Amino acid sequence: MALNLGVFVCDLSFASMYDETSLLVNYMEAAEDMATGLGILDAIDENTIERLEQNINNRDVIMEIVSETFLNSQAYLEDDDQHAVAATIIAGGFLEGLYISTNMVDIDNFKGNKLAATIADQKMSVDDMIRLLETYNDNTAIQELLGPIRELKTLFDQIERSKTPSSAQYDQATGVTEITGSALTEMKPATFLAIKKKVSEIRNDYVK
Amino acid sequence: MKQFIQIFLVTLLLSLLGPGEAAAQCKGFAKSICKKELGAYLHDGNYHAAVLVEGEEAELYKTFYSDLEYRMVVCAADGLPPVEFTVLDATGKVLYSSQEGENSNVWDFKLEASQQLKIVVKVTTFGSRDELPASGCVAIMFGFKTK
Repeated sequence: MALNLGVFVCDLSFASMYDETSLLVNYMEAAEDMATGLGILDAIDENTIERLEQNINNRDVIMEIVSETFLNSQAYLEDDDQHAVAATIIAGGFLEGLYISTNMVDIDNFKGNKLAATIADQKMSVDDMIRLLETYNDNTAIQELLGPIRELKTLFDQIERSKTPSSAQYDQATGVTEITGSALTEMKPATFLAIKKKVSEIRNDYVK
Repeated sequence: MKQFIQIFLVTLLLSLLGPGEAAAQCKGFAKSICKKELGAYLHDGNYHAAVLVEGEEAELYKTFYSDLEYRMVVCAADGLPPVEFTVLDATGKVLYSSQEGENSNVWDFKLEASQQLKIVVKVTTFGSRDELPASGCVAIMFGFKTK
């Protein structure tokens, strides 16, 4: 259920980006049901749903609500010592993001595809995800999730990435520091397709 | 589409600060005090907060992406000595230190290439005193916007 909550919050964000307003409230209500099941209803309460309905056409507010819902869920679970559940929700959001994005890449126009490049960059995030989940290795649900995610990591490990040294340059005019240092990432189409297949398998095992 | 990817691909939580130690009041502190300092940057939704004691250090690993501009905010509860933070790349090279930035708790940055960074937060000490070491909530928040 925790992984599904992450999936639904991700879908909610996706729906807001594509102005699928009819789906928004349905997704939020589904998320509310799951939050009830997980005992974190405070994170997604009636006020959240109402605020969502009132701002159904305001993408920025919707993104803010989604962000706050995610924060509330995590904070609630952390406060309640339910770290494994919080980590599973994050894993659900991550997997759903990968699932949707891998399905949006046109394999016939793979070369130079920006979304594919962003997916390739998830090589770093998969490592981070495993590290986070391993923190709660004594949890049965996490153990079950770790196996397939480690299999996913072996596919991401096939992506070659090289990086030049970093340096930081502060721009006085904008107040923004730019961290320079380029990176070269190479993901073969076959690797991408294998990742897409694996993500789909993992995701579909949980979302029925 | 970009913002969708930002939240669920781009802003993956790497490790939670001091799991199990965050007190309930930390959540309120992070939301009411720290989040405001993100200004026009959209909060990434992740919660990183813990109760730290003076002299204590915490580390956080996070991947940042080249198509976004970030704001990082480090907030400490009243009663704690100043909190310093340092940002390092994967090789351990220091890219930013809050001491160089006149101890500002806000740092805006962007990257030429996506990479994982390590953030080290340290609560300084009041020096030698007879009282018990001070402790309080320390929160780190990240916001983003497209370049």
